[in-house]
Amino acid sequence: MSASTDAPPVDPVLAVPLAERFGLPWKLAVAAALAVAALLPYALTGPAFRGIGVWGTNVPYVWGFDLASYAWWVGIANGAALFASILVLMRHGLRTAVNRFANGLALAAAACAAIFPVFHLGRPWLAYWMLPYPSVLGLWPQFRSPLTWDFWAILTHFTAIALLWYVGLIPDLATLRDRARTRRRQVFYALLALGWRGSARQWALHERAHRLVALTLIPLLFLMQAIVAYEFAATLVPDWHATHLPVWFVSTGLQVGLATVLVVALGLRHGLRLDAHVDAGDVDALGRLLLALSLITLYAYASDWFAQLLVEPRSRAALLVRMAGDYGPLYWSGLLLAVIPPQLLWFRRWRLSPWAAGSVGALVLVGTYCAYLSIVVGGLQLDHLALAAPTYAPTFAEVSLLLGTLGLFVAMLLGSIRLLPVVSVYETRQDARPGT
Amino acid sequence: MNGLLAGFASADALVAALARLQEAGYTRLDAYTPFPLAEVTARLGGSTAAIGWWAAGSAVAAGVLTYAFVYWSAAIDYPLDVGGRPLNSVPAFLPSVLVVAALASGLATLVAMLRMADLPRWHHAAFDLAGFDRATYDRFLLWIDRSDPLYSAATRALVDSTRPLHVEEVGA
Repeated sequence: MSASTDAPPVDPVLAVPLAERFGLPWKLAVAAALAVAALLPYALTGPAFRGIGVWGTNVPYVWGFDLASYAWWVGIANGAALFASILVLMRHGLRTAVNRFANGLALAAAACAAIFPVFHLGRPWLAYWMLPYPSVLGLWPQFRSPLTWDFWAILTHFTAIALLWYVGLIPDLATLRDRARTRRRQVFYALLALGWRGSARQWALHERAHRLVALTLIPLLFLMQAIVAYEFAATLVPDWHATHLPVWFVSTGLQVGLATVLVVALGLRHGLRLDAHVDAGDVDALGRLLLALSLITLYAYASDWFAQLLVEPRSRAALLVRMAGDYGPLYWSGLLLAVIPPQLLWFRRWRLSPWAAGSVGALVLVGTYCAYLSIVVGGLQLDHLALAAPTYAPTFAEVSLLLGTLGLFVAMLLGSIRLLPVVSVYETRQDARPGT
Repeated sequence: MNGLLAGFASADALVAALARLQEAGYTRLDAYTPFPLAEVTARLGGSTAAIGWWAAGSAVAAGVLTYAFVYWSAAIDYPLDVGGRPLNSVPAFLPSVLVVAALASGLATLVAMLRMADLPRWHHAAFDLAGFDRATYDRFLLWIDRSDPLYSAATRALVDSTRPLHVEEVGA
């Protein structure tokens, strides 16, 4: 019988949500995040009340920053959630450190992603038209359209990520309920814990349900990320109309999701002093995974070259324009930033250096955004019609919307870090027990 | 709640005591632990296969219903002929169908787990037991229900011999 089974080794994790005061740095961080999120009322009232014309999008560039940001956030959500559910299913040792906040950040990213398509509708208050309800017009949503698939995908995706997160949280919420010393906290955690008692039967059912939800989520996330790609592939735009597009979206999405997990892991490790729970081995493993995913992304780019440059003249011309035209720099920064910096992570020294690994993660985030902007805007440059169109550039309304969602994301992340255990307490203890 | 509650300081002590009682023939036992213990799950967890059936059944049912609805709305109630393509557009209908099936399966898993685990509840008699709040933190509790056929005055002595931190008889 070792000491690790007796004394809970997880007090530093529980101390965060149980602390009455949390210090000035956290308050400043929340204030900064909220200040940036305060751009949202401006960014959202423009397209809602003045019209989509406040954006720089126009024929042929009908999808600008808006769709690129959407694809980026969805990629983060899918990548992080896929990673979390694979860890749960494999009962990998990394799951105790990473799976909880990977899930939390996936949920926050999914919420940010949902803002874009809803406001791109122009009249966001009519978003319920996407639901199949018996209307006086006798019309139904067009289920043959990827845009309708996407409506269901976002809805399901958000619910399913929340499910995996919440099911995993229930036992830890009960621990917080029983450790909380103020009435407000006791009531808050008691309501969320649903009356969990930790009986043998409950644990058995919980374990099965947690793994089942993770199992359901994995195909769903691939499908979701593929549906994002179908929105492009199902159009007749030469650069997009390709069956291999989902491969590229899945690999870049996974990579950007993992990069976010790595950046947040480093932040938690050093910001909350959770070195014991998010340890060097975990950061090392995340670095290796990011490196592996960068190679898969390179492969997806290479398959794109083979499929598009060697096959059809029309798509070859479109891809060449995307590579070498006005938006060429976006294409090349997308490719190079996602593939070159992660090569540093071949070396253990760089994987374990928080600044090196964090910068690599941040560069991948920027690179993937450029890549999505390149496919959205650059992909539209050579359409079937030669239009004498001015080039697309985002307006302040679009930039402020992206910044606003970034602020919102960080604020949600900070809120969840403060209120919930960022590391799975019961799984950490389960793994710490010798012989299991 | 009517029975005997014994608290242990470690998972191993609880597992040993549970094994002793089961070998003695006790059947109405339960354990409350801060994290899942494979040995306890194997002894007291019971079958959890029903959750899987609920999840799979809900996925199939939701998939079939969604397909039926999509087919009805796009091929019967409001048929739209696009260049003579078949009204039953199977490949195009599948993404929504699969996504809704997965959603139903996930929600059914949660609901089935909660129903089978006797959750959610506002309150449970166990929460009134002294020291029960530590079962989610650092205590491993063993419960012997008075309805157990073997429950007698000797039970207490048997439990004491497993050297728990504390033993408490609840109810009378």
